[in-house]
Amino acid sequence: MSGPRPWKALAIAVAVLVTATLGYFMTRIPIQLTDGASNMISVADVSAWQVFVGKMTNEGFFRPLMWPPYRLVMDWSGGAYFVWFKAIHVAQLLGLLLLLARWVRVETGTDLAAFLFAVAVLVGGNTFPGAIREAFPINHFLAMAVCTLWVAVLAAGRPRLGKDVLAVLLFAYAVLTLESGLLVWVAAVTAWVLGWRGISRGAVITITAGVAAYLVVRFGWFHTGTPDLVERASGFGFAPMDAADIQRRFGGRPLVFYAYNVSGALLALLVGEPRGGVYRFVRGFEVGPHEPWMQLNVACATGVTLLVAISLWRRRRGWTHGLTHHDRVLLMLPVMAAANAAFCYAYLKDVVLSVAGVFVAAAAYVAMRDALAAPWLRRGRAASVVATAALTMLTAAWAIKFIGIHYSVRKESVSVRKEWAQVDQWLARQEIVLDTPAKRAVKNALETDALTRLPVPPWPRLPWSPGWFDETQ
Amino acid sequence: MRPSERRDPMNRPWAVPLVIVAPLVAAVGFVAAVTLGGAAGMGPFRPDPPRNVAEALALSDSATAVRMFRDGADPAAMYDIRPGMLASDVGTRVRPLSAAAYTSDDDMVRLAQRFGATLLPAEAREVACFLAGKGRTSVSHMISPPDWTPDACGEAVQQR
Repeated sequence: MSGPRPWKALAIAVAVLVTATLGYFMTRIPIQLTDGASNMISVADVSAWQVFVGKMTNEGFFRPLMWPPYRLVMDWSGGAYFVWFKAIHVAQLLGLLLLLARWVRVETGTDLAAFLFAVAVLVGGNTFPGAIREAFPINHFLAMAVCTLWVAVLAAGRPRLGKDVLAVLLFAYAVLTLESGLLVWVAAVTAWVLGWRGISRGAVITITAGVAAYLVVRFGWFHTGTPDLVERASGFGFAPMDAADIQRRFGGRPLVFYAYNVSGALLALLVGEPRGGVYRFVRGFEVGPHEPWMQLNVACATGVTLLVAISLWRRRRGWTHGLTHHDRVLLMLPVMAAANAAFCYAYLKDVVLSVAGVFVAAAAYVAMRDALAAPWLRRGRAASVVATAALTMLTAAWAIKFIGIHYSVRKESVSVRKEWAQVDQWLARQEIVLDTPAKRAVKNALETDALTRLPVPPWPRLPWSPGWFDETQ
Repeated sequence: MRPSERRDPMNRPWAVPLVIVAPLVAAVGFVAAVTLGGAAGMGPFRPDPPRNVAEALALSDSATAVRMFRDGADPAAMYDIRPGMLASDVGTRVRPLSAAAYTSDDDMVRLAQRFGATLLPAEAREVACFLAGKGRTSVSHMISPPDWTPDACGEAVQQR
């Protein structure tokens, strides 16, 4: 094939195929009860504007744009909630993969091979399952990943006024939806510092001013504050802790816990441990043999880190003459990883790192591309065989994780359908009262979807699947 | 490069990348086959849903069981279930409450009972004793009369 076009088209085809298969499994998960149906029921009787205003004054979290889209989509859907929310979710996934393909620039056969690897790293990575399994009707973690990557794509292209406007809008939406929306600003500034000029200096300054305004409104005006120690359960050492445990142990010295979480988040990105703050793999040395999936998690993450480190090391000499596009893609990773890890200070949860996970995948693309083009793959017979074997083992490990995410999503569809079979008991336990026709209509529509419209997707009986697929994600 | 090396396919520029990404291509292909089989209802990966409410309960597919009950499935009738869905020594013709109990899942039993599933006293005793033999007395108590105890099973329990 001559020229980059066919390879770009094939990269798009890969993105579409992966979205189609994963989307098939995602669209078999009913809208979850916890955080899904419950949030939709909570906005059933109020307008989007009322929700926006009401959520401005929440304590600990400033997320006024998180709920209004639920209301708007519910209105637009005319009652077909499941179809609309799932369509949005699948569109988010497709958007993310297409943005990744565009950002990393697939132009040759080697690039396409590296892109396939990047997709496996993104989709099979520990930070990703929450982005397709998390319970909210619109997956905000996936939305943050899309917004941040989109800004990086805008920055990497030619400057245009429309891009500036879009970058500012993406920032505004992201920062008013989740705290990690501030990563859009980090991406815009880092891209500018690295020399990308697709987003103008004026737009970067505007976004930075937006951060200042956000901080003033959040802390000075509404006194929202930040989440405290008792906000969430999180792990420490070798065991998970509930909020009360955390308060008891770190109430007097929260900085220790925060430092543990931030450093743990960085390690999770680099070596796949800890998970949710718990060092399961390390604990495995004490309590017994490791399950294969544990070894796979650590091997996959560490393999990518080594590959990226080699790539950075080999590229460093060229930096005195200026940065190439792929140098910049690589160099975005340390900044985005550190910034994203900082958002895990209060509690460590894999999915909070989903934005960094996208940049890991992009860096993995560059690193694999470099490795495939490296002369040592063809230099001497022995060296070539060893390098090929090592890289093939790495891709084989990621292939298992890629299959595993489908297995995991299928498991989720089984478990959510089970929850819906007990919906009335669940609502009673949560003290959610369906006291208006609108609330009852939402519940009935979602229940019908869950119980009658959605069969569980098939899965071949693989005797080894429980050991090799990470069932904790 | 010597002529013999030139002939070696591993020295062609595309060969090594192809070998390295082969596992990923295979993984994408496998998942695509599962998806297509599932969506089209054909091939080895076609869906195999429960055929009646007892099968749904035996497979712990509570959502399908609820739907079938709501669609009018008789909670007290006997149903044929396919071999392999329950333990080999419990037969293939059961009532919904037996199927639920044999899963040893409290939630399944509660669900069946919520829709009116019952057992004849003799059947209840038989299932309760079977489960007691497996150490699942909590489920045994859920389906048997209030005065039932594992002692009532006598040797049957010990034999299991």
